[in-house]
Amino acid sequence: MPVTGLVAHLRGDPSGWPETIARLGADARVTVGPREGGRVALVTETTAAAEDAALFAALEATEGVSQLFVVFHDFSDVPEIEGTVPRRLRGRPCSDET
Amino acid sequence: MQRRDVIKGMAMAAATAAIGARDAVGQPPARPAPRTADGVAFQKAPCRFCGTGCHVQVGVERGRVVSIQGDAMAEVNRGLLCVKGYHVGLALYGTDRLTQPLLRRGDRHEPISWDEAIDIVARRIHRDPSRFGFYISGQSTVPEGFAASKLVKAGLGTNHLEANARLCMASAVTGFLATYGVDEPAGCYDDLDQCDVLIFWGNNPAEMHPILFSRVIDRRARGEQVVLIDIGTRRTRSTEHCQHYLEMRPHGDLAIALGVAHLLVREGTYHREFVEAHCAFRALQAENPTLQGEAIDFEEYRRRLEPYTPEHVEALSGVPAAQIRMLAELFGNRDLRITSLWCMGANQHTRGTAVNTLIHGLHLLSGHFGRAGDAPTSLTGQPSACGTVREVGTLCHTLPGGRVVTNPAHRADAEQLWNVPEGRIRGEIGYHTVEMFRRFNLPRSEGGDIDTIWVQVTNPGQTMPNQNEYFRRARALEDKFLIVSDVYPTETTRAADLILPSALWVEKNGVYGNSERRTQQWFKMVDPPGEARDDCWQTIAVAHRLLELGHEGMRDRDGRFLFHTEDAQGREVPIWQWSRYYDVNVDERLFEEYRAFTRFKHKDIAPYQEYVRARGLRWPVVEQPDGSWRETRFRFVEGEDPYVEAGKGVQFYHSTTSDDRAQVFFHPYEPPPEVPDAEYPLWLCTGRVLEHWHSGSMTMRIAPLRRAMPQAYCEMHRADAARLGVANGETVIVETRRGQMEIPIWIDGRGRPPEGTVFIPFFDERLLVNALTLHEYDPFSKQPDYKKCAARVRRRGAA
Repeated sequence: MPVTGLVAHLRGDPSGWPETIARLGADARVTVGPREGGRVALVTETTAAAEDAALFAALEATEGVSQLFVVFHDFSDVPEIEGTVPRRLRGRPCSDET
Repeated sequence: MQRRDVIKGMAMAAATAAIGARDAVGQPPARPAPRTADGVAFQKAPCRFCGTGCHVQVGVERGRVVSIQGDAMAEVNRGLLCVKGYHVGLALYGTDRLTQPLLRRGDRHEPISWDEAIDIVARRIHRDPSRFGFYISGQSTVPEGFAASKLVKAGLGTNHLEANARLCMASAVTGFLATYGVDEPAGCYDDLDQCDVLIFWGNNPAEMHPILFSRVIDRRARGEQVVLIDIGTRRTRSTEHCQHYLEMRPHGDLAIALGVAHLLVREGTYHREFVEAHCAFRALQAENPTLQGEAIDFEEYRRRLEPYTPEHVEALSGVPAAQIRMLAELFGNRDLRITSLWCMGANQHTRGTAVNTLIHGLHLLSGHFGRAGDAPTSLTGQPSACGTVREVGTLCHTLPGGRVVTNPAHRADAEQLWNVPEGRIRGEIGYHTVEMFRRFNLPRSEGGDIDTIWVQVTNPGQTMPNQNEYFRRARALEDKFLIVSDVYPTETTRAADLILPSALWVEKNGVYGNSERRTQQWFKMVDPPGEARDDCWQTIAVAHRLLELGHEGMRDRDGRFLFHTEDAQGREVPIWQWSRYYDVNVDERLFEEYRAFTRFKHKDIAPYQEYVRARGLRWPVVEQPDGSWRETRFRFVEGEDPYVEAGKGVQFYHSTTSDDRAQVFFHPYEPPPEVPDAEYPLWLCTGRVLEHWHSGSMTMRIAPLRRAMPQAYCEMHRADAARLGVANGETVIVETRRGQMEIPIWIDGRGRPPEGTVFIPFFDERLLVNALTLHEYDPFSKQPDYKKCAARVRRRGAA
């Protein structure tokens, strides 16, 4: 159950920021915190690392968001810590030919 | 309150602190991170990945890292983290960590004891130290690098010590040395908060240094006007934020810098007063050129620049003359503050020294130097390329603190500080990285006089250029022995004869030095897995085994062990025994020993305990009358740098001409060593991506990062793809004169190369692009060029 603290940097005219913040907060997994200038604090709560990453990508792509940064990441109860580099690949590794 | 609510509260507190911290530009943020919360104990550490040097608060619970928080106390990142920093804690917990020493027996690696492993390493070295190369890293800690340097230079009496930073920032070093007589940037990250114009010379900070990039983007969000200019060979995420994009042909950067200098001189918009007071002019000798070159006067400099008109530069670089004029107008305007940033694009360049000195020259010529926001600043790609490699001096020609092995006085000084007999340190430069591996990959009968290499904290099996010639040949040669200390299986460990499992990041004490001269300390927080042990301990244990084998170099002048360490009662602590290694803080002992080396080039560092308290300090760090220690933001500037004399304003006190002047170099444009032709009609450029750290040995094991960027790809322009008849995602064969690979095509991907150029990242060990890259290197820095060579692409099954 990853919990992540985020800072979203808002782009454009400040008059559009409330709308952007509303878009960010529309997802039930997102808690919107205080805003300071063009930056707003967020906390996300998801059920799996993959969902956490997908939500991050979605928030980053939200209209009106310039950049998104993580400031806190708790993974103490995330069960799925994978460990090895997968061997499956569409292309084949390079040859030893010279 | 539920534990989960506590964690959410911590997350919101961190985010709230971070947004507040961003307003306090230039001021240390006031709100510390929590020391403990809900059983999780937090301590500071610098991030393990890039050279930015962000600080994190590492949360540990029951001996395991469970939480990462951006450190709101840290000036570098003020609480923010990029996607790699966010996941840095997970880098420890891949399921295939190396946990015991492994010796190759036939085609298998079999477990052996540490005693056996240390003995094997020592005996390989002892049989002929001159055939041994030690290859470490810009990810090695400062004490690890210092111990390696002491072992090789003060102990073995050879200079075959290199670090992978040779492959990433050596040209920056030669650029600084040639220009100022001393290495590393004069400016710092504060320049990003003050500049009006920010120029990226072949640099993509939006992906490679995102936290630094955010400082500028954030200023724009606050309504400040900052002009961003991207000079590059392909469009990147950084380009999207820039007002100007100057798309150049490879090596076009040389021509662009010359063209701007030409206009500044021709139009008389250079800063005459600054130049007359603080600069001299130089060019390479016609024969046997040296890094320092020879003096020329301003008229000769002007004469040599004459051919580089905007139109001629357009013909050389592909950048429209109007854009050259635009750049020159900006540099000619002293009401503006201009910062230049560069990294691999300018450094991994067969004329890397030239382009580095030309960029410095533009800032000096135009007087855009010495004010906050006016700075030529190179960035590093690794967390301690500066601290461990450049400052400690872990290259084949260097000694700690800016000394060089070829200078008898420097050697004598180092011998005195290390308390080793006179004459112990050799004056001949050792083998640089490419040469070391070239010789390792040749039979002895053909000049292959390096037969043993010990690799620590790096992955040359994936990162050496022209892999087939410079890494893979050795496997088939008799009597070559590769020792690799690492944390995960890699392409290098797979080729190794002996694998030593290492501790990673907060599994050990450490000190790093980032891109802005900031030295950063952290403590061990968790135990390494299995039998994994600190790299520094491995070095010391091998040194002690060499002593037992009778190697006299392992004794100092007083006959004591080279790494002799005493406890508070004056009793020797056998730190070569793992069970006793943490009886004292070995890092602190080595750091204090190293500190004695640092004043020589005014790179003064403070006592270790000062770094325990701080979130890093930028050198020179000088003690104040009240006993406090003051860092330096801007070097060579009166009022900022304590070594500038009163009344001087700007003083280049390590001038190569001993007159307090910096050198403005002329270097002519030169084409790349390999260019596309009828047989290989495309440019191949290589590089990194946001999600992965260098060769991906850590980040490819972090599931969210791997999912975000699961494999390497070949970026290609739509027109080239149409000409070849390949579709997006189709696997093609990419070939150069050195090797080939199969890889999927990405059209209109994250990066957008122009027609005639393809780009492949190097993070994916299953797709080794460095089998294709060129081993040619800069004549002064010896840094290879990974950014350009001739390639062709064909469909599978096509001839």
